[in-house]
Order: sequence, then C-alpha cells, then structure tokens
Amino acid sequence: MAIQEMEKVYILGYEKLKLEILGALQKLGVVEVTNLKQSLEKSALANYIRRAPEIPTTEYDQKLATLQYGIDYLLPYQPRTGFVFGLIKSLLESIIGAKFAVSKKEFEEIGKRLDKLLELCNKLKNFESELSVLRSEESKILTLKEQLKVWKDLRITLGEVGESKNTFSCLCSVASLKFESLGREIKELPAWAKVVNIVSVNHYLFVIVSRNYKEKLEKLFRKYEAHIQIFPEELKGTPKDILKELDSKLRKMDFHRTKTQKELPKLAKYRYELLIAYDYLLAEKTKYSTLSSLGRTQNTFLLEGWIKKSKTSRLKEALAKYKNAEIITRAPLESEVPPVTLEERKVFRPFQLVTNLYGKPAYTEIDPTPFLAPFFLLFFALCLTDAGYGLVLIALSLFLMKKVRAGRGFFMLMLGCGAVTVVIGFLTGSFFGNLIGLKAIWMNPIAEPADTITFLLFTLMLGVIQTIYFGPLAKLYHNIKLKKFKDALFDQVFWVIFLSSILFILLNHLGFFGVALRKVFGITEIFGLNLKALGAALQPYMLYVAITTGIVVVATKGRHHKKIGKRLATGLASLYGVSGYIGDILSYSRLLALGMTTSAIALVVNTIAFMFIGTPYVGILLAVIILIFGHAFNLIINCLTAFVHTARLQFVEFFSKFIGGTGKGFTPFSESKRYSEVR
Amino acid sequence: MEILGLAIAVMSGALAATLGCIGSGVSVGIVGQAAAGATSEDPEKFGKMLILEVLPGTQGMYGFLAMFWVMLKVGMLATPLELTYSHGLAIFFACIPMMTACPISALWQGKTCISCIGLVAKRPEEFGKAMIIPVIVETYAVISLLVTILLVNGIKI
Repeated sequence: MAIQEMEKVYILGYEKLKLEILGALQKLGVVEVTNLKQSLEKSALANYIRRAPEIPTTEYDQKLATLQYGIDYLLPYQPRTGFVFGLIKSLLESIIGAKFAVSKKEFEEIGKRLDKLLELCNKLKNFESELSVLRSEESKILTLKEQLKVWKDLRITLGEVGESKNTFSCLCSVASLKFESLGREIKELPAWAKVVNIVSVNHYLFVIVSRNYKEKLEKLFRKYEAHIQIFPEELKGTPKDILKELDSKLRKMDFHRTKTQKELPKLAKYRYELLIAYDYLLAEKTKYSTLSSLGRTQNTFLLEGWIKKSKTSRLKEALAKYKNAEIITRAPLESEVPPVTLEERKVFRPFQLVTNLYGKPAYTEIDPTPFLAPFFLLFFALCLTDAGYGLVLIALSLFLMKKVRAGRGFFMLMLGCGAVTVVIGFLTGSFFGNLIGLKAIWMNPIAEPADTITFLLFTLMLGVIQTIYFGPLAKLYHNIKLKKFKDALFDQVFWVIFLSSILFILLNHLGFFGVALRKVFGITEIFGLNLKALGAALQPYMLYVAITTGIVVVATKGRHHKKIGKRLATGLASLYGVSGYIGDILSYSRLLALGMTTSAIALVVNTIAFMFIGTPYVGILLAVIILIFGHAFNLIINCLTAFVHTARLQFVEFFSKFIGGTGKGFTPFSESKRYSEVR
Repeated sequence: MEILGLAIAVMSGALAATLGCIGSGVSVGIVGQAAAGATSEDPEKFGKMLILEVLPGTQGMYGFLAMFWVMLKVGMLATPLELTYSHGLAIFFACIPMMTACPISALWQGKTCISCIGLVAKRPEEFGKAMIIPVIVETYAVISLLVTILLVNGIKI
C-alpha cells in the first residue's frame, strides 16, 4: 500500500513491426509512453535518431464526430426505463462515470462493422436535414393557408387578379370602421367592389377599376389604410382550389415524415454498437497519435516510457513473440520525476477516492490514504451525527452496490461513513433528530448548552491530535522508512516535543490543563495522579523542555543551508509556524457547527410534523409525508456538506503537514474508453 | 421594557436567519445561472453542476441554526423567559456576525462556485478540486456561526 515503484523502460524494434507492438502495448495498458522529444534534446543519440513524424488525426476526429452524432441522435429513441429512475440513474452515472460492460470479442469484431455503422450515421444526418427541410416547407405552406383562408369565397382565380389590358383589379382588406367611407369613395370612381368576407374587425374586398384610375385607387387605399393582398405568382387557381392543393401537399409531407420517423426506433438498436465503435475508433486514434512520441531510424523505432516495476515481467511476456524486439529497463535517475500511481490494501481502497480529489503526492513522498482513513470516517460521522441517517446511508449503499455495477469504492465509503455515523448518533442521542427521544450516552450538543462547549473542546482535541501528532507522525514513519534518521529526529521528534511543551504551558497557564479530558471523557486522573496536580507539578520542567527543544529546532531547521546567518534565519522563521497551528486547530471547530446544523434541522422537521398530527383524518398522513421529505432533504444536504468539509479538513490541515501533492498521475497507454469497459 | 427585550431577541434571530437565507438564495441563484449555461453545452455534467450549485446553500442553514439557538436561549419553544431590554440587546449584538459575515461569505462563495463551474466545464476530471475551492470560503461563515453560538451561550438570563 503505497506509491508504486516505477522503472524507465525502452523498447527497441523493427520499424515495420511498430504498429503491431504498439497495439500489443495498448491492450496491455501498463506502459506510459513519454514523448521522446525532450530526452532527445539532451542526448547524444539525437544524432542517430529522428523523431517520428506527427500523424494528423483529423480523419479519426471526423469519424468520431459522425459516430457521436449518431449516438446523440438515437438517444431519445431508446426504450425508456421509467422517468424518475432513469433520471436518478443518469445523475449517479454522471458523478461516478459509469461505463457498460462489453466482451473482448465484441470489441474486436466491431472493427469490421465500422464502415456500415458510419454509413448509418450519415444516413441519420440525411434524415435530419430532410426533416428540417420538410419542417420549413410546412411552415411556409401553413402561413400561406392562413392568408388564403379569408379569400376562399372568391369565385375568380388568382391568376385573373391583377393588371390586364384595360383594368386593374386587386384584393384588399380594410378596417370595418373605415369600410363605409372607402366604399362610398370607390363608387365615385369607375370601379366596382365586392365584399368577399368579413372577419373580426376587417372587411375583405375585391376591387376592379379602369386602368387609368389605378393611382387614384391606390391613393384612396392609402387614405383609408387599406392593404392590398398580393399572392405568389405561381398560384393560379381559385383560393378554394389552391387550399385543397395545399392540404394534400401537407398530408403528403406528414406521411413522408411519419414514415421516416418510424424507421428511427428500429435503428435505435444499433446505438449500442455505435457506442462500442466509438470506443474502438478512440483507441485507434490514441494508438496513431502515440506514434509521434516515438523515435526512429531508417529501419527501427524506439519507445521510451514508464512502467510499474511489478509489471515489467508481464510486459516482457507479452512482447516475447517479437524475437527481435529489445526491452531495456532501469531505475529512474535522480533528475527524473516518475509518474505516481497509488495502490492500497483492500480496506483503504475506498479512501483513494478522497485522495484523488486532492491530487497525487510527489514520487518521493508518502501515500496519505491510509492515514486519512480513520479520521475521515470519524469526522464525517461527527458532521452528520444522527443514528437514523447513518442507517439510511448503510441501507442506501448496500442497495446501490447491488443495483449499479460501477462505483463500488464510492459505495463502500458510504457504507463505512454510515456505520460510524450510527455509532456517533447513538453516543449523542440523535435518531432522526429527537424523533424517539433517545438519551445521549455521552453528550448531546443541541439538547444541553453545557454540552456544546464540551463538544467544542472535543473537536479541538481532535484537531490537536491530527495536526500536531498525526501529521508529523506520518512524516516520521516515512523518514524512518527511508532511513533518514537525522531528518526524523530534528524535523519531527524535536518539533513535536517543542509544540507539546508549548501547548502544555499554555493550557496550564490558562488553567485548562486536564479540563478537556475531564469534561469530554470524565477523566480526572491518569495512572492515579490527579491531572491538575500533575499539570502544576510538571509546569516548571516543561518550561525547560520548551526552551531546550526550541533552541534545537532553531538550530537545526536551517541545516541545509551553508551560511550560518541563513541557518539561523530559517530556524527562527520556523518558530512562526507555531501560530499557523492555532488557525489549523480552530478550523476543526466546524465539526461542532456542522453537527449541530443537522440536529437542529431534524428537530425542526419533527416539530413541524408533530404540529400536524392533530389534524383530523389526514393528520398522521401529513406528518409522515413531512417527516419523509424533511429528513430526506436534511440528509442529502448534510451529507454533501459533511463530505466536503471533512475532505477539506484532511486536505488543508492534515495533508499539508506531510505531503505537497505535486505528483503527476500515471497515465498508461491503453484503450481509453469513453462508454464501455471490457470485462 | 420587558416586552421590548423579547422583541429585540426575536428580531435578532429573525434577521440572522433572513439575511443568511438572502445571501444563500442570491448566491445559489447566480450559480444556478452558470450551471444552466454549462449544462446546455454538455448535459452529461449535470450532476457535478448540481453539487456545485448546492454548495453556497449552507449559509442559510447556519442562519437558521443561529435563530434556533436564540430561540433555545430565550425559551421560545416552551414558555419565553422574562427578558430585560439589556438581554435583548445582548442577543442582538451576539447575532451581528451572522447578520453580516454570513450573507457576504455566501455571496462570495457563490462567485467562487461560478468560477469552479468554469473549471469543471473545461476539465471534468478535476471536479474534486472544484468542490474544495468554494469550501475554503465557507470557513468564515462557520466561524461567524460559532461566534454567535458561543456568545449567545454566554448570555445569562
């Protein structure tokens, strides 16, 4: 359980076997290929080896985009799995990043079907453009229909309306209020008008006039704000006939569209294959784009990369059939920074999720996951503090582990957190708030104000334990493993003693020594010695201890520097670090705040629910509904904040004491899939 | 003067809760706008966006808790205690951190969450970092809550 040891690997082979070997490497997925460019720049080999040319991946990108189009397009045509369940499932999947299972054979066979699948996607694209053309045609026709509807009683054809040798005729509409006056003035001209239709506030007229009087007529229209209706040239029949024609056109279009759309659910079954094809192409693209990281001569190629030491033999096995390929491995040089990959014992694996949120530790540092595990569980439980919620979490995680394939680590984490929450819930007497009036075995910060301060002291104690003792302890363990005994002694041992003595003096001076232990655990004696007396007795010695260790710390913190001035300065500056601890320890008081918020809201939910119990007939039903939704809401919100704040405490206050988190993750060259997983 | 004492205590509880809720409401709203925009570009990220949207919502709950604490102190859940004018004022002053620091930190946490939505949109794999960044802002809301609780705790009625 730790940061895995890495080795530098070089693979040398014949140029023509390049793709085959890369393919084998990709399937194996144990080597991270580094770009040879950087190494070549500093190496003498640059005279003999050229970099492989960049291979443009545009063709792959195009194909991938086509497949993606098909995948997205067919999504709505898949059989639904129930709206709510589907929504929750997709939400969960987007958080966990679930992939569906695919057999090895299926994956390899899909390569043969690629062309057919691409054709299918192009067909879908054509469908879509056809459909959109249909749509715009339809809307044009519908608009025309609306315009023609008012004129449907007109008995002449539209072709006849307009200019002829001696006359000018037109269709016009005018506001009904103005119709009388317009009609009178038209009568004065050599014109004839007939009302074709009256719709709402408008009169629709057919007017014919001697050609010479066209301008006069138009002027008249302008005076009475009458509009001339103009129809497209190609419409020749009577409005009634044209409307019939348009209707039949619409029917045909509709038929065409329904026919096309009926095809789609049948095609939906290919979506599954599209997803696999996408992943297949993605793997191919990755393979080709990796080619540019290799070096080559006329007949050979060179690959440089990193591999976990434990996997080297597997690599040699897999490439054994390439008799002339050479695999060389060596330990990383001092100047090199290998990528980092962590592996845990089974019990710590769920906590890797939390470490991954932060980032990887540097290669030379230690894996923080086992250290954060117990604290994470405890702090999460303290933030959630409710036995009932803990039970819900346990039940939920067990249920999800059965139903959802992926994200097993996440659900194990949930299970662990739930279990510890149940324990803490019982200790603080909280079961869905005060639903069953559970008595606190230990203390209840909400019910009794005196307990609030005690709980606060407890959280501060936890802060002291984690930042002052566990942080340096982890570093100490690491240094001893690396046999850096001098560092261990000066940086950790003396520093911790120094801090402890200062803490001791401070507590004693304020009269708090033993207060925390007394209030929180009810301990007033250790090994038969009264704590207060013990504190008073040790006080003077502690002062000496503090001064001595302080001097050692100042003297040795800067021991890496050559000049004595700089040494002293660094040493003195490190004393300033003590004040940082105050902020760090106080940060742990948020556990109290978060624990109380959960209980307070639970209490209120219960109070409101009980208020409704009195209502006749529906009282109990209402109360139950309020309880369910109120507690569900409380659970979700507080789980989120508990997780985030607990993680934050680990990252900011704890991790900073012993790692820097600057490691680069190990990204092996593999068939990186987006949708599926070979199982 | 006794009635005034209770009134001032109630006012301070109400203000603590209200201002906390206003702060949370506004910031969750502005984050929601950014979340909607990000989801429109890539609906697969919805779950992550939702979590980031909920993060600034806690300040409202802290305000609620502060009000609850005041209520417990004043005994409003059973029979209210006799409060003098000075008790009421003391409670008011104790609630000042919640009335001021809480909504402002909520607002800024909301702005931080919006930037983090941008982070997740560009790099979905760094969601963890995007979750942790706004939580640092919340430290100060938690501190102000603790200040209020401790101060209210110390008032002897």
